[in-house]
Amino acid sequence: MDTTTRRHVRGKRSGQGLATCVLAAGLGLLVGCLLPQDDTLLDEPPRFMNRSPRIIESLVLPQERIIQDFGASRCELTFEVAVEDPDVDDRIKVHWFIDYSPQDPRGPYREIALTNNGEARRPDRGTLRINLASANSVLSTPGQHLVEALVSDAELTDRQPESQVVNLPDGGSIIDPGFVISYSWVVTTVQGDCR
Amino acid sequence: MTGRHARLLVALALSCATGCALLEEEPGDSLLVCRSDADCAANEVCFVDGCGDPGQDIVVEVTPNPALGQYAQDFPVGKLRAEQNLQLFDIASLRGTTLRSTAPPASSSTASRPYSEPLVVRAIGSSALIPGVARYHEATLVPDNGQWTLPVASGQYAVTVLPADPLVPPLTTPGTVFPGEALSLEWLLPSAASVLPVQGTVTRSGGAPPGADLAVEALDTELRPLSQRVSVHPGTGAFTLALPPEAASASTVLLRVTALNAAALLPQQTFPVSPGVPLPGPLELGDFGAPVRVSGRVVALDGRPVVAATVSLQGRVGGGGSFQSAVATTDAEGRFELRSLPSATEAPLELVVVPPAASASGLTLSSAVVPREDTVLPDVVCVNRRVVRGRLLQPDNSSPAPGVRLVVEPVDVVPGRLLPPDLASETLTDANGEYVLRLDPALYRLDVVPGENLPRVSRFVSVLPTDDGSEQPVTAFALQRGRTLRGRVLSSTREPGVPPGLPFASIRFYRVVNVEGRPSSVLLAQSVTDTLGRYTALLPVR
Repeated sequence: MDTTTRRHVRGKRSGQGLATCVLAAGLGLLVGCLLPQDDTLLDEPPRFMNRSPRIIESLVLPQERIIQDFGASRCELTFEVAVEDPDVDDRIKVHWFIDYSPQDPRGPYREIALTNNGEARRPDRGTLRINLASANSVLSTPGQHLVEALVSDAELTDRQPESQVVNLPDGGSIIDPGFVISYSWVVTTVQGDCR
Repeated sequence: MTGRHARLLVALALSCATGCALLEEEPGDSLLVCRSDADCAANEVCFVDGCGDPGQDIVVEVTPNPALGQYAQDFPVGKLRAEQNLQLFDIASLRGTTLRSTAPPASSSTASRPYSEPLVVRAIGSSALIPGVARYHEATLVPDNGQWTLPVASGQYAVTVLPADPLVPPLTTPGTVFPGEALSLEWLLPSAASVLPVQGTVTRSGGAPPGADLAVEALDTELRPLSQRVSVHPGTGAFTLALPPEAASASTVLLRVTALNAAALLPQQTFPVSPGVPLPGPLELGDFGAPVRVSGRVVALDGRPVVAATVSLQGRVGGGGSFQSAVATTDAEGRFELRSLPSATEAPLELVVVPPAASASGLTLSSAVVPREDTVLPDVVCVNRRVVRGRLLQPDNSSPAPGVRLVVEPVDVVPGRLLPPDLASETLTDANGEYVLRLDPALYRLDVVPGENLPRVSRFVSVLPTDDGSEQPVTAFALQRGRTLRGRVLSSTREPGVPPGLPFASIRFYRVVNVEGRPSSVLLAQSVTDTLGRYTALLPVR
């Protein structure tokens, strides 16, 4: 009897425990649903932001930053930059400056707009070909020259990007500051037989 | 039996009809001149040199990562597939051995020792497969027991070794490097006892020291360097050159003296001398006169000033030398000022004027007599550039192609004319697909860059000089349809566990063509691989 009674009592207790467990689990789940599940919360949707273009340095030509004796053993030199920009619709321009001096600021020697193809890496290159055999070649004067490629996703004024207001679909607006990045070479021209 | 025969006949007829539908059109003969793809056979495209199969005769240049010494490799592609993977070879390189002879002069002995002092290696060449694509490598090296390695792009090179010791003459050896190949070359530098020393001094007129940074080098009669270019002591004018022993057999060697800086305002002068004997006296630059200021004004044919034109003076000066001034730019009134040397009494200097790309005025040469005092030249009236007019059509070869960008680049001279600088002249076609360019006489490559969905198209245009101001028409031509080629650039030499695709590699597809009888190349498409080594390129298709 005792055994039977005890057995009965044990079974009654077991049923109560199960119900308690289910209740606790339910409460736990409910509380879990009410409590935040993430460590961080976004107060607002991500902001529209312009991202900077990048010169792919491994593909820059020439790889040497200091070029000696231009005009002695060769008359032609090709400068080239390849560019990527995650903002695939940005209009990328390569502005070539030769011997830019802040004391006597002048505009770029050449501007090259890179064609968009819907990919971050632009297929076009910003290429500047210099031939000392041509008339009044910009690097023909013996001595040192500074060649700079400025890559921008905005119009440049005095080599600085022009910021612009971008209207957002929700009616708001942001200011896109624009970006400019640069790469430079030093070229020493010597007199030779190019002309 | 009758029904069975009928079924067989129907099946035969259907199979014949299907076969006919799958048959390609009979390809016609290739044309050397074409205006659009419609002029070509069914499977061909109108290229710059005539009709051709767009999937054949293509050379690909892949440049994996020059910053790591992985330079360009060129591959001929027999037949392009829709998925064209490009498997690269190992790094191509020059493996040099530099030796220095230890044999006594005039000896037949080949005794030598490894030359391990610092040296500059300069490899100047071009692609062996893509005409017109230049290759250049230069590095300062310290050989290890005479051995050194220089990674290079595949190509044909003239490799020059210039020891840091200026008293060792340079040596040049030709060689062709194929993708993945290590080309072994050897240089035997002459012994110190066998080189021909040339010692002398450079002076101004009357024996005064140069007082400026000058350099001297020895050349053979074909203007190939025999010695290194060495500096002249600015205070004394003294210099020492070393010529190779072979120069002793030449009757004449040229010593060329040049200024290292344009601000020195000194002429370049060449002196013929006899090798192997002491110089008879100093190399005197002659009476070229004192520098003067030369000013003037550049105007167009209608008398308006030409703004932002570049101006320079060049030619013979007193004392037998030649002079090239720095380049000046005209201001808002078309005025310029140059520092120059006076012209020689027997011939004036040449004034070279290059107006900017947007100007209707063109490259103009005029004579300039520069006396031995500051002078104002008469106004320089520029000739007009020649108007080049053409029309661009859609791939259907009938409707106009509006708003398309065209870029022109000078690639060669026309006889008797100076090569114009690359001004990157460009324009857009109007609503009728017509375009107008103003160009100086030269041979140009005209690149049409239609945008995202169509491939680039190139043509060569010879702009000829004219005296009557007539326009030069260019035959209308059509854009081409494009197909997207995809693939990966793969390397078998990547480390285990690293994906085989090469990120940020440059890919260029060229077609090798003949332009006016000379081999040339035209860029068809270019791309850069993504982080997994994948690329897409837009190539012409019929």
